[in-house]
Amino acid sequence: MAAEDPTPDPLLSRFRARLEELPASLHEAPSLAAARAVAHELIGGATVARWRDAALDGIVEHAQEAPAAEAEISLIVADVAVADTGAVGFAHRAGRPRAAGVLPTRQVVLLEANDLVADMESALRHVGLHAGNPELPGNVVFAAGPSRTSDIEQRSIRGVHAPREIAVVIFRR
Amino acid sequence: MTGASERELGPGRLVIEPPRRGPDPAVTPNLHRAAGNWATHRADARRRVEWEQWRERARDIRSDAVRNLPELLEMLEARVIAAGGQVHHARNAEQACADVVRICRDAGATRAVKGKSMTGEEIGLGPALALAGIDAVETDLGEYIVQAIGDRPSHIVAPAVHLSAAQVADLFTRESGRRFDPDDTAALVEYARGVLRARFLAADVGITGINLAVAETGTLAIVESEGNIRLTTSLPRVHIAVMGIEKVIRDWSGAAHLLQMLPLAAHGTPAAASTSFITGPARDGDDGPEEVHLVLLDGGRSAIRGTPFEEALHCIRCGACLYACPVYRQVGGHGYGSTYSGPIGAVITPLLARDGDAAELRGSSLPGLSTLCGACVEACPVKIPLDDQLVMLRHLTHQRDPARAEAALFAAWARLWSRPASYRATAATAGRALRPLWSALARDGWQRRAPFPFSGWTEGRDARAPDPEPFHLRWRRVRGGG
Repeated sequence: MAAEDPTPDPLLSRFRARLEELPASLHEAPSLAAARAVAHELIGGATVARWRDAALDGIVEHAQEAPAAEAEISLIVADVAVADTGAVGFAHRAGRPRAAGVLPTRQVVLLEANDLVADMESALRHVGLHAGNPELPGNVVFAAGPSRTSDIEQRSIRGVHAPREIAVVIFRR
Repeated sequence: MTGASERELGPGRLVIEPPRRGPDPAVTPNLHRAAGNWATHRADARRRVEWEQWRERARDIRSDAVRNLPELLEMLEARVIAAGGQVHHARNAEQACADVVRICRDAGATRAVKGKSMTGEEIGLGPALALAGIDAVETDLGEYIVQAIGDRPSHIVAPAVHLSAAQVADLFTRESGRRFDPDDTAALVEYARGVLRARFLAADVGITGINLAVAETGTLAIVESEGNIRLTTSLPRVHIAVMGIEKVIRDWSGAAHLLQMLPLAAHGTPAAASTSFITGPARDGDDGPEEVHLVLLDGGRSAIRGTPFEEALHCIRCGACLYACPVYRQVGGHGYGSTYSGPIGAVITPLLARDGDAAELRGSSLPGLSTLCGACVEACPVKIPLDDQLVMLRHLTHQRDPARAEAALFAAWARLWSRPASYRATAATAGRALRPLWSALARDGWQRRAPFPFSGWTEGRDARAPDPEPFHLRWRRVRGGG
């Protein structure tokens, strides 16, 4: 499953097409280190609210970090993504606060390629939402593209209460 | 704006039939645009999936849920409690409102943020909270606008579809003292974001509806576009979800299907911008609410099970039948005068109102607001036979409510005016005699409040002022003789 795999990955193509529609940007990286570099580039000098997840280490300077209500960028890691819908799914828990995932206006999401699945039913199972799971996550959000509204004369506006721009960085371990 | 507000009717009252008003010239173009967009999206949706097979499956999931409702509710309750949540049973709207108010008081909560909820509208939760001194703000942009204007939502998923950008710009200008340009929609949205952000951060309690509840794990699923639900269910220390009991489904496989069907039917998109899955309150180290309460509202639903109307309980509140309906497209949601409008509103409103008492299925003229064209049936993602149900309801409401006085009056009038001589003798006189009474109170030719004995009529609808030149005289004038 290396990046130089000559046959195109049908799941990835579907996911990419859906993200374009939503829209959200997709960045492909051949390794975690490369993904971190892409995320670093995307964030630039902006202030960041990030999750305490090892995958996100070394992307931003400590000085760039800010409380969720003030940060410009949300830096999180997805547990799953759905090729059919373009949604990324993530469970909130200790070290992965809800506020940091929703309050900033821009979001960078790291996604491991093995966590990309075909459809919603597989995605729910993948993230642990199924009967008989003793570790069923208490709060899971699936986000498909930017927060948006058409409440004023059906005009579509991106960015209401949750991020208005989403960049997904997909990488292979 | 038009329509009696729930404030006038008092909290906890199911709004059955407040005023039905004459056409608002601002409403129709907005509605037509919205319905046009929806039709395009629907075509997109049908290209994306095997629509007919998907509908069949969606109907089967909902029908399993409604048929096995007691069993599934028991399972749901046990799982919610096992996950650390609390469950409250409300037989009717008053009890549901009282539950929510009590939970707020017990938690010492005075500032609430609300997510858009049709069930909340149904039970009159906004006025109930206001009466209890709880400062509750609607956080869905459309609902926020509707609440600030003092209006009611007019569509299940697009509450402010009847309002123009100019009205919104005026509202925000009045609120903030800043000038807003109606054409700068982004600035309007940005302003609301700022105002509401402060409210989210300060709130003690978040109140939402739900889209479905998964019995097998006790999980609540809520879909949204804006992100306000994520904030409402995450930032305050208490989350209260109010659900109609019929929203429970058995399992995750069904949830996966319905959560794709709902946005496809509502917007033609394969996924909502955001879907939250909530199983109990926050656990160690999670920054979510300390308490999660689920209020299970019956509100007349149990009484519909086992009747020929059972399938009305399959509704997933996507709003598709509203946009598909030629009557809704003309009169808008407020024209129905009920919380639920459109074809599903015309069916479910009289059924919920009777609350278990079959003899109470009275007086509703809502089932008449249909051309029986069947466009709603075709649009429905769970295949509710809305046209059949409307016909059955017309039959029942007619049987149970002959409205004797009104029927006798119309019969006498028909006898009088079906004879040319007596028509000619009385038509012009009647018009002239009534005209001053009407005109004194009419605006733009529409009479909002007629004098007795016609006041009962205008409580429910507007009346046209009578024309002093009846048809036969006008015909003679236009034809120039005879």
